Amino acid sequence: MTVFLHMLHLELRRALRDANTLLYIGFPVFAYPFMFWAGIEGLIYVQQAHERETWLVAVEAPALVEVLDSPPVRAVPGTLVDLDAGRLDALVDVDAEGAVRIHHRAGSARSRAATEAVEEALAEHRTDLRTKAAERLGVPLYTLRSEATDDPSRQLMWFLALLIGMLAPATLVISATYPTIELFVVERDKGTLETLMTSAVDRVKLVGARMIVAAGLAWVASMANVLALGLTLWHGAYLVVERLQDVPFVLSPSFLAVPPVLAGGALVTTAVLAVLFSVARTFREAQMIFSAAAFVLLAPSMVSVFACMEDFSRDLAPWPLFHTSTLAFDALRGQLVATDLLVGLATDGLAVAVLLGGWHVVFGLDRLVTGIGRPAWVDRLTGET
Amino acid sequence: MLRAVLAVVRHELRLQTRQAQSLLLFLTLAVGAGPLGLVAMDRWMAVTEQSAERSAKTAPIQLSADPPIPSWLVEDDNLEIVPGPVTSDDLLEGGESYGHARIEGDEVVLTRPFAVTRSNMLEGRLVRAVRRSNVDRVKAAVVASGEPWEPPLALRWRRETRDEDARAGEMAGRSLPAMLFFLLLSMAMYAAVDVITKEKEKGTAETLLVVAIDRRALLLGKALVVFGLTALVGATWVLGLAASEGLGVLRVPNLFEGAVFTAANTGVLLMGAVLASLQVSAAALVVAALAPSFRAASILSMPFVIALMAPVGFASVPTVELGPSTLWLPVSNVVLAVRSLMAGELTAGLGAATLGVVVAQTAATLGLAGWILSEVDPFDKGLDAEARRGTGDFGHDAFVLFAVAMLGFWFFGTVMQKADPVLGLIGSLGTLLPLAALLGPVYVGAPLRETLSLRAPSGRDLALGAAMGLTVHGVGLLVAAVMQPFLQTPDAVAQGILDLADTPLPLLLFAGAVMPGVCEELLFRGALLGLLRSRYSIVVSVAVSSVMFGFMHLDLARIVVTAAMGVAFGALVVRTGSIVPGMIAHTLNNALFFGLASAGVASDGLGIGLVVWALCATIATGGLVSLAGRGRPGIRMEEGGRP
Amino acid sequence: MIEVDGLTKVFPGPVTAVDGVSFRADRGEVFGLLGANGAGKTTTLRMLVTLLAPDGGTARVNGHDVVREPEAVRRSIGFLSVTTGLYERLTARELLVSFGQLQGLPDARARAERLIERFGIGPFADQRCGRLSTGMKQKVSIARSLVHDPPVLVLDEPTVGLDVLVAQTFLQAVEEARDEGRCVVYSTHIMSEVERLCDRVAIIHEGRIRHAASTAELVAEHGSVEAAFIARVTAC
Repeated sequence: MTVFLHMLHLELRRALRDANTLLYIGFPVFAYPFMFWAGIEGLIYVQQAHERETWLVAVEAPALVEVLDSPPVRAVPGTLVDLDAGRLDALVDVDAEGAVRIHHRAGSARSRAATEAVEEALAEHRTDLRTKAAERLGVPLYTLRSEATDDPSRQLMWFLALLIGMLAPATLVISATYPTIELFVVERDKGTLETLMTSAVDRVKLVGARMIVAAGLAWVASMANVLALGLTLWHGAYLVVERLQDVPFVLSPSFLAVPPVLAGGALVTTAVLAVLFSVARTFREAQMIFSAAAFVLLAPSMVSVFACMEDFSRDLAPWPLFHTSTLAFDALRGQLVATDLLVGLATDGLAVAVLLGGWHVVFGLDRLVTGIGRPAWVDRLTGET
Repeated sequence: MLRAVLAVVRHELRLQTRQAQSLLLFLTLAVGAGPLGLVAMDRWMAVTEQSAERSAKTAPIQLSADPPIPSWLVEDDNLEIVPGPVTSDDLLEGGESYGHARIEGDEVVLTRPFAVTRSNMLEGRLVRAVRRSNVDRVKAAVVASGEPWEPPLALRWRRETRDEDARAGEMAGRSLPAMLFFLLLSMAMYAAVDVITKEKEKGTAETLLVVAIDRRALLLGKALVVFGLTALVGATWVLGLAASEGLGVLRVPNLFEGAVFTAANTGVLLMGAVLASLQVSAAALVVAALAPSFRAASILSMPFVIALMAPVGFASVPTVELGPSTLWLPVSNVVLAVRSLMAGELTAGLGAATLGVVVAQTAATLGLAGWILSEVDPFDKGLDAEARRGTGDFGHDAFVLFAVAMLGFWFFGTVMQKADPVLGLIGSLGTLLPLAALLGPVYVGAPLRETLSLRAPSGRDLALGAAMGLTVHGVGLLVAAVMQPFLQTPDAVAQGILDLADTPLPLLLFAGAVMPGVCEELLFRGALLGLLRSRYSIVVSVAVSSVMFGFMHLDLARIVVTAAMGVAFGALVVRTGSIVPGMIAHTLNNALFFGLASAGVASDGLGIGLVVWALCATIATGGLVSLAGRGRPGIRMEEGGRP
Repeated sequence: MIEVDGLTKVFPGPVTAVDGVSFRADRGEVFGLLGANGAGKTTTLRMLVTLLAPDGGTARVNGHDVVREPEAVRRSIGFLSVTTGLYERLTARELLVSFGQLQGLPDARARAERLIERFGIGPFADQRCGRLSTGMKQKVSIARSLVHDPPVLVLDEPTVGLDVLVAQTFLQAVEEARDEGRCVVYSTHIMSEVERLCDRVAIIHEGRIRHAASTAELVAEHGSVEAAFIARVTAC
């Protein structure tokens, strides 16, 4: 046990002494606010620019001129030739059956926006007339009023949980890559591997220590991801959902399940990556492998996006990688079922045990550390000798 | 020159073709992400569309309702009435019903949990059901009264598209350039790292550099290879997609509602690929030149990818169009121009202007890349970070520390201050800055005491600090008054300062004067100035740390004034060899600001008194500085010994 | 051929790695730079071959100043050091041709063939450099440094890590180069090589030249080069 702890300490120190590791962990803390800020500012700019615009529309139906000639639409004279030449944003006329036709250019954002404005004005006009007719004829018209049963804080959390849940598995994959390469691969083209492998170190402990440190760093990085993402979203939530502005921030106690859920996910992801990287000899090769494997690894993330949306999250509880998203979603919105969490963590553990245990039985754990004995086709592929 | 460039190009191409990885990446990007990727996307969209249709459109959603339930609600096949009533907790626990409806007069009141996706969908369906029933009932009443049901009461409309072909082009123009950019980015990054960074790592750079060849030819040749490979990926991708559509392998029409790869569009995309390759490879060369190793390059590439993909994302927003305001955004302009051309909307004038801007920007970027490559000699591996630190040089670390500390401070500081302005200010200043100031030097192994100028000050040093505080405040007011017509503090910042004025004076002084005075000094005149001085001269170090201090304040009006204050505080710390006088000066300056503000004295109302104050204080400080300078040279790191 | 006068290099820190080094080396001569690890040999030679810019002093190679005419200097020198890398993905023949072309030789191929023959590279000329043994690599390396027929050879600890037999072949090549009238600057910390190869020697320690003399003089004075080296270095 002492040896194991020493090894843990050694590996952890080795990883942390490299500023790249710290940069990797800290990166999301800076990246998300920046991306969010840039995105929101950009959208606000575009929206404001559009709000200031006036759409030039030729109306060839006298009855509709008055209806349509109000901001943002301005009725101007013009023909289809003008529309094609870009001097008009839309042209409205009426066909033989009395249906209104809105001529526009599909290729132009201006023209599409003008079309939408015209449609809106027409709908408003029609609703007006129908409301008046209903009043005249004494027909009751219903309106819908929606009341939320949960308080605004819970609504805010649902919103945050949805987004964070969707992104959690992706952050795990991204977070686990660098530490796993750092701990398992980088040493392979350095002289220190010989020193290590010729010492009387128990392989199980060695791989165990590396797994724990790599998964631990991945966990910290993914927590940083989720935290930065959560704070960014919370900070900017009102920009997206206006009525959530200044809503108090109340976390459901079940959010405490997020760290263990991410820890389980980090272990599984690290184990998968360690196995994948067993054919890599250099940092570079590991990165190439990751580029190819990323699509497969990110698949659970994509599937679970739909899982969050459709409320069938509980069905995914027994499936490692897939359940990261749904468990985090449920935990953050305060609807986590305890058995789901337990099943999820148990299956994570089982997956790691099966993966690494199976590898040990078939190939031996040495190969995870040294990468020696990779198939010949990999050599041919990389072109290195 | 030309012959030399060609020799380099031939040499680099020979190296690239010898590497299966290059070929593999090329095929992955140009073919795998091209026709194959789009076919997969097409299938994926078809599948999700089907399943979405099944679950969202056809399956009814359950709700409970109070009697009497109107018939239109029961008859709607989108909705299913189940027994109620239910409480909100039942709903949240996943009970039978996703919402509860009741009729109050002419209002349909829906009670439903917000935090359930299906309940949100229920609301949408109910809105439509109400609207439909309203129309049905009005129509029935109108017909019953013998009136005709015709326009305008029954107004109908439809869209008539003038440019059916352009629609596909426009839709494709919104997504294809974005995909293309990402692929080009991957290739350019890989190639640039391979021809620049890898040479440094493998020791071949040395061999290459003693060859008698013009260094500009060497760099130009390498840049050409990076650009060529990148453009080749783009061209292969575009032509591959065009061929797939032509052969009917790829059902692009399904994705974009029409044929995309007409001869004209293919030409446009090819041109866009070439322009984008230019932009992207120039930027990638800069990253590769900055990175000492392959690993560093892979870390550096993360912010690089974000910085380039953000404008791509912006340009993919449907409402963003190429115009006088968007023309200037690098990367965005190429994406928008391609989209605009494919949508048949680009006018000749705008097109020419855009091309001009893109060419000018690319030339400037290449120039910048060239400049960096000549300044930071790309083949001089130099000392690695650890060896450099071993010689007592922590100059580079100062810049990293500044970036990390500021990004953290801006982000967490904003969040903390949103929670509570005063406590947030205290919290963010009091934790983040000292942490950075202490952990930074400790992490890189710089001697803490020397770096932070932790030395007990003499009485004269303290007096000097106080005098400097008065001076800086007076001069600062003067500068602000002079600059008033040109640069103004944004309303939001001014408002933020005003908000603070409501707090009790002692708390305000603590949050606004003592905390910044102590914590900001610890970071800027302590850690950053100390680390900078281990490499650069005193003048450069004070100047750079002051500019950093200015940028911490983020708005243009304050950057200038605060940077100038930074110089004063920096000079004070260098002169006295202790951080404490700087802290006193800084605290006093801020205290005067908040003290006067809360006493209701407007700074622009001081008039001539201001000038007198500033002059007197300047003379007094000048005298003190000349006194303090005697017999005490500034402590330099070299003399303080190496760690 | 080589005139070095007061050459100085200061690294940030500041660390003065080379402090006013001066020496001369002539045609048909092997000039030895003898020093312990970190003495400043490599930095001096890197300045000589234009890889580093000097902070003070001048150096001329074949009449060209290293700062003002770096290209002319590079045309005159062949450089080989212990860290010099070969492109692993190229075959030996391709590598030689490639460097000939980069040097702007009109007859790069013919030149490469002559070198292949001379150094006995033929049997492995079409194997990729990454797969060659250390000895083979070193042959390719020295052929590479001679590909443009430079009048000056700068060799920075070229035999480090070579076995006795390979080193033997290498030293013969250096002697041949000298006999062809080239000027060779040879840095090393291996005393026997100095005794065998060098006509004159400079002992460098902590960035300064402590002693310069002909090998024969050193041996006459101290009995051996090693004794001379230890005596000179411990004296300061």
